Amino acid sequence: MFKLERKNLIIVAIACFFIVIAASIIPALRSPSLSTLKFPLNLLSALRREYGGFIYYRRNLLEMERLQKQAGLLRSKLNLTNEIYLENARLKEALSFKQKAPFKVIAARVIGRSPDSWASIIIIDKGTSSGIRRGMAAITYLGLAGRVIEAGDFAAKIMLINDPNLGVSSIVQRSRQEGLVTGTLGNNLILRYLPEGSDIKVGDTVVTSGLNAIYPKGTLIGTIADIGKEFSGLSTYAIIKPAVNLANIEEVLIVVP
Amino acid sequence: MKKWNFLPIILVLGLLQVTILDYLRFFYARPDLLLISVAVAALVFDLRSSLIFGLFAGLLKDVFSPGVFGLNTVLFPLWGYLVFRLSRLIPIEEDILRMGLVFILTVLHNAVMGVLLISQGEMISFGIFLRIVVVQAILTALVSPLVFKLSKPAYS
Repeated sequence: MFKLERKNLIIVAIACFFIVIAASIIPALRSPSLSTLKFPLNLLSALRREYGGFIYYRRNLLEMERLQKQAGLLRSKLNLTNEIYLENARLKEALSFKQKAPFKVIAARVIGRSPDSWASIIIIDKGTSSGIRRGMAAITYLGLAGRVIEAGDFAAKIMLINDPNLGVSSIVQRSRQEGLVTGTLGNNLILRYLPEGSDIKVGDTVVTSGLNAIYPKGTLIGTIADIGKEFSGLSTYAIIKPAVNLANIEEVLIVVP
Repeated sequence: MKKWNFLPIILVLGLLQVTILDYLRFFYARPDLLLISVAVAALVFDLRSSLIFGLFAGLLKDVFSPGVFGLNTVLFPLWGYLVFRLSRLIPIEEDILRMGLVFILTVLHNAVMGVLLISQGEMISFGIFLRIVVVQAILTALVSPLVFKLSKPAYS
């Protein structure tokens, strides 16, 4: 019988040594030997991990609590960074529009909104000290937003185009059909005073006509979403989906005439 | 003199109404915190104080609003007076009663505002009129217990 004598052990050790040497020299042997060893290695490492879990339970618990706090902090930082990233993208677009625009504009940030639901206004952080005057048009890089109705030294109120008090002379870009855009206090605008049989279609773009010098000619207002007849039956109206998302407006550009 | 602590509370409520409250917008309507403050003042203070607080709240709302200046400044003390008189006739202590009172007050205020705007020539569809009046009244009534609770340190 094979006995664990010193001589046999030396022989086994030498054999192992040669196998290891051979495995490192012959690449073809490496892969099967690794594959064979994978299962016991996995098992042992799993045992070691579990064992370590018991031994270092308290240390791991503290570490986990610390990491959880850190993760929360990083998550909030990430949210903040995302917000800054989005703001940066918006400002970049506004700046690019400002540089391309053929007229002088003043950029302002929205700091407040109408306190009740009967008006659609925003309050901006710039006023007469920055050159803003009552009556100036407010736009964004997407299109027309409204008009300045009050200007203080360091703040101003802008009536948005979805307020029923604001009327903007406009034309349908394709057919040059004129009409008056007013607000509805809702999400959409309404293009009124169109003669019966006007050449308008759903999807047509509506822009400012330039008849009122306040609004730069050709500024985008929105696209026609629906067409209907007035109650009197004498004229047609069109529902317009505004180009600017008036509910979530954050920055505006005030047009200096 | 503790009751004058209610003035900064009205100011904070007014600032909240034009800023953060915009996120609570539902069907184009938002709760009217300043109107709730008028109800609070009328229910917990004497007539003179409730009129003064109503005037201040109305003035603050008019500062932020477009159009005719003074409409809220006139209406708010009037609502304060009516709530004060009503509270002397019926005890309004329960939260649910207060919510009901705020609901009726908001409906009344918005109905008056809406009718005044329409009479001035504003074209507001009946659907939007109804939506603003009803939805805003519901939202304001729902938020009112919180405002009553937050303003308690000023009068308790």
